[in-house]
Amino acid sequence: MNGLGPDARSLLAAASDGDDPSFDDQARIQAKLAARLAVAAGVGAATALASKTTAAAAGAGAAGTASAAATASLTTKVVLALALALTTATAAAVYVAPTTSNAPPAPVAATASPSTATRLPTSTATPTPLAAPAPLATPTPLAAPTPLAAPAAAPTFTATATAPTLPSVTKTTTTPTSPHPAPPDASLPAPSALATAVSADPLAEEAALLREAHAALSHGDAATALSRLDAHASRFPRGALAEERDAARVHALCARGRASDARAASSAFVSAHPRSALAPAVRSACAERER
Amino acid sequence: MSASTHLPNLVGPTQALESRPTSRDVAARAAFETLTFEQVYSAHFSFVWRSAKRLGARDGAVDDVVQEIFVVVHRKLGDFEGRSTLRTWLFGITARVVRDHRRSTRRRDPGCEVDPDTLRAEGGGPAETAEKAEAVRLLHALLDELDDERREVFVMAELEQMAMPEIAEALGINVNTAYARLRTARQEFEQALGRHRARDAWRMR
Repeated sequence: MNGLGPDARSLLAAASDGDDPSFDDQARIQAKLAARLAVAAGVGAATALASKTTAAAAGAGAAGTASAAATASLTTKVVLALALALTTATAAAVYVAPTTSNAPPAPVAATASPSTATRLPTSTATPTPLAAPAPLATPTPLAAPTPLAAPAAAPTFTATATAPTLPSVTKTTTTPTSPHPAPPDASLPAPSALATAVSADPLAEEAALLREAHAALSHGDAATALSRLDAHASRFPRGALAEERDAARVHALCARGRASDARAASSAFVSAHPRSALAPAVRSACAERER
Repeated sequence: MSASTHLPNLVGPTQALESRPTSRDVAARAAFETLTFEQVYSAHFSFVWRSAKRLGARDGAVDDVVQEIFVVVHRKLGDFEGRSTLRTWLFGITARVVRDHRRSTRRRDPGCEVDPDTLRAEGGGPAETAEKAEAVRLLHALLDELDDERREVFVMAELEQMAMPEIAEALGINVNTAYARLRTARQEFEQALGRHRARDAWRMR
């Protein structure tokens, strides 16, 4: 079972762009989202402000009065300065700055501007913002000791508040992020640890070889990648993943700078698997390298 | 703060697997944080939309499902650190939202599984030919015959040409598992297509 047959391939090709959205689809969803997120942003902004200090709130309030883009950078500085002055952890400052400075480069700003707008009323209307966080679920991120987590909490609240219909959103996140307030780095799965299974299953063996090749390739180690691919080719000349192997080989040759070998391998691939889904990527493999 | 002026690199570099953040990590993260929701939306809307449809969000539900997905994206964007590509990350979210959606609709109305043979393709634009509409209809019907897990791998590998390690990462599964699912999915897809062709031939008589 070496991949899909010609009939299936041609069906996939025929239907390939059949599911693409129309311009109307994109605009319609954008409008719906803007409405939904604007409401959310109002709630989120309030929480964010509450979790910071009153002074930071004053900074955000200043943002509201000014007309968006022009003053956004100024606001950044104000918020940043206040954050620096008031929080002991500089990490918070690192975090605050990029989030706020998002405004200028984004020309659409559809959802951004309502949030800035709502910030003004909320910030002035909450004289004792520190009391606010309680009502909105997930209380931990607000805890002062992890200032890095605090700004990140804003968007989280946003959705929790407005999307009660989506029951399992929280667990949907990037794999084991489970404890929200944990420092971001701790929550990251080590990709290499994903697969450690060794078994007698030939497919598993094939996959292991290919995985090593892919890993080497993604680290720029084309030589190792090629040796893994050779190993696969001699052990499983007609393996279930032969198509994937041959495709990877072309990429590895390109990466190694063996352009003419790559070209030969590429045309061999295309004639061996004329309808392969991997063919377009294989054909443009070296071109991509050169870019 | 100079790093934050840098524009986003949509396909993030694969970072070193260090547990403690170095200043380079911080800089890289800052670069990713400059990704705005609007940028992600306009660059990847098509991808999310068609993936949602291919994973089984149909007809009236597509709008809602895609909205849910982007609400999650909006909320989680700050967590995205460029360890995977943006597409990988987005597909992970898409797959989970669609799965939840399908589960809840099935629970609510178990009898409403649409018979693929009666399902009409949604009205395409004027440019859409009858053959294309038919191909899409058939594709959806065949995908419907795969279970969710195989379907996800199949859609990513065969229709989006994503690499297997990426797919495994998006779904949070072992690469071997992903390969195994792909293999089974291909077989089942072929068989379903064969059945369909046989049925067609029989009808033509």
